[in-house]
Amino acid sequence: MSTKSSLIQKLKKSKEYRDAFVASQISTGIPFQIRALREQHGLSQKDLAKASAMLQPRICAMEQAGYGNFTLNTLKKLAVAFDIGLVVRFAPYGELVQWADNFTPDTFRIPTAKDDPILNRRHNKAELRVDLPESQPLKSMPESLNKVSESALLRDAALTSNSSTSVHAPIGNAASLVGLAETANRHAA
Amino acid sequence: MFQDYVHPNGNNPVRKWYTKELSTQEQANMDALLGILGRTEIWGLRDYKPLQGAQKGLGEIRWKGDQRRQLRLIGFFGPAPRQFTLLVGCNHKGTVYDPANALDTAAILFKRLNQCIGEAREHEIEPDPEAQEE
Amino acid sequence: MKLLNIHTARAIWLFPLADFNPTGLAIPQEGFDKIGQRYKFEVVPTVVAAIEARKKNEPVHFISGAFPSRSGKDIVVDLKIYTDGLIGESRSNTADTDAFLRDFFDWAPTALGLPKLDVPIRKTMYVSEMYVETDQEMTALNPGLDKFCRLLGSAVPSGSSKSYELFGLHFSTDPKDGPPLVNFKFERQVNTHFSHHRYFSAAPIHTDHHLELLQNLEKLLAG
Repeated sequence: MSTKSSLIQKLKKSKEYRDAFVASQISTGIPFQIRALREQHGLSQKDLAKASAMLQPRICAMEQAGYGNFTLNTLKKLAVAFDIGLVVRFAPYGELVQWADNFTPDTFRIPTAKDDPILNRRHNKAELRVDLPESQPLKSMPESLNKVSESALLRDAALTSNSSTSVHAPIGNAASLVGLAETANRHAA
Repeated sequence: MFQDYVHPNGNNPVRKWYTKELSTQEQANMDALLGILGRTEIWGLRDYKPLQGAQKGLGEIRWKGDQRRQLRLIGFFGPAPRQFTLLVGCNHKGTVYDPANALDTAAILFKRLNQCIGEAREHEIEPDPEAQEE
Repeated sequence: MKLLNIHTARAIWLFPLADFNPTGLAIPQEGFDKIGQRYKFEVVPTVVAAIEARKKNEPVHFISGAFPSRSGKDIVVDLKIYTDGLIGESRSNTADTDAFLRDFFDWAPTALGLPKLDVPIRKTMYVSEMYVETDQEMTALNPGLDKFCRLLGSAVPSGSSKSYELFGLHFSTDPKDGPPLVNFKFERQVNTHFSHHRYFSAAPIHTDHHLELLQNLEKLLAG
């Protein structure tokens, strides 16, 4: 059974577990997010404590998975310290399940007001249709230049080939190279 | 990503500990924690500590339970890449584990798995009722 | 699904290389030569070349060495040393490449006069590439694709009508989740007549898992 199906099964069976599940998203998820945000901002626990008018031991305790004493006030102070927003609203269990299923560590990183793409978007008539995230042209999955990170090692590691990527004339037809021309969805070699 | 060690007779020590020793809240916290760690490439020392000595090769996943008790899942990376096999669950306070022989048991189960006694089976939040032992 | 050849069995181990040499001890040319001798590399870089490579963010590259595979026979291995990890490559199996990296990882610090430290590998990744042969057709996944190929053939203004066929299948992850190291691809070998049924496949997984996946794919195509 997939993790998601397993979770849904358990949520359907037990009200007690449903209540605990909601609490666990906070007591386990928030500590990870605080750590990720602190690292994102290059802050020590002491720096964060100062910025949020709390003590370092409290920040340390809050960063442990299972910390169960978050108050709304504390979360607001942390949001202010990180200069980010905070969403508190009721939601269906399904939404929490979807979030948990789609989660990646990058989810924990939040742009500050300075980097927020919506806050910093210059609006003109043409752009006011729909707020879409900045899109990159669909660059190639020919992985030779498909960066996973800035690491030269990872760029090198991602090199693959079908011995075909060199442009040769098709067998038996010396005349035409058109069929092997680069298209928009490929990097130039 | 997570596997449980299962004895040849079908007993799953981690599932047993989860069901019998953890409160519902602690169970939910453990499920959420494994959900996050399962998608995190590098585990920090806050959440995972490699063990030394007789338990070299094993490590413990750490988190806080109810009433400030510290909970641990002892296991190892493997048997396949991107897998972590859970061997034993326990409490921890200072240098004391509860059950006291948790580390020794984990080392024994690790050795057994390497000898193909028992198997590593996918860890589930809610076991498939059709697959459960009677 | 017949395996024709393994093109790449690459293992990537990520860890900070500086952790092996925390106090920045000098590694003389003899150290590089020792690595060359142990694995009989044909190309052993010089210290000077290594320094130049580092400046350009390039690896220290040992080429065409030998290492015993699981079957006991020597396989050809390459080694690239980066500041954030190692890349090992063979044409055998990623398990053999892993064994090579493990041998290097365990042997090298002591052999190079560095302290014996417990450096954890942060992450391991793999790239498997292989050529296979199968009689099954990709359009079996959806017969509508045959119709699409005919529509495409008739739509392309080329003077003489060419018939198009499905060329390949690519699988990747949503950019919002971050790209995989490499996509999974299963595509016809280029510059090869389609009637030869030769395919190239790449995947970010172990060789053995890759083969299993391809066998599963073949079953899906067989219906």
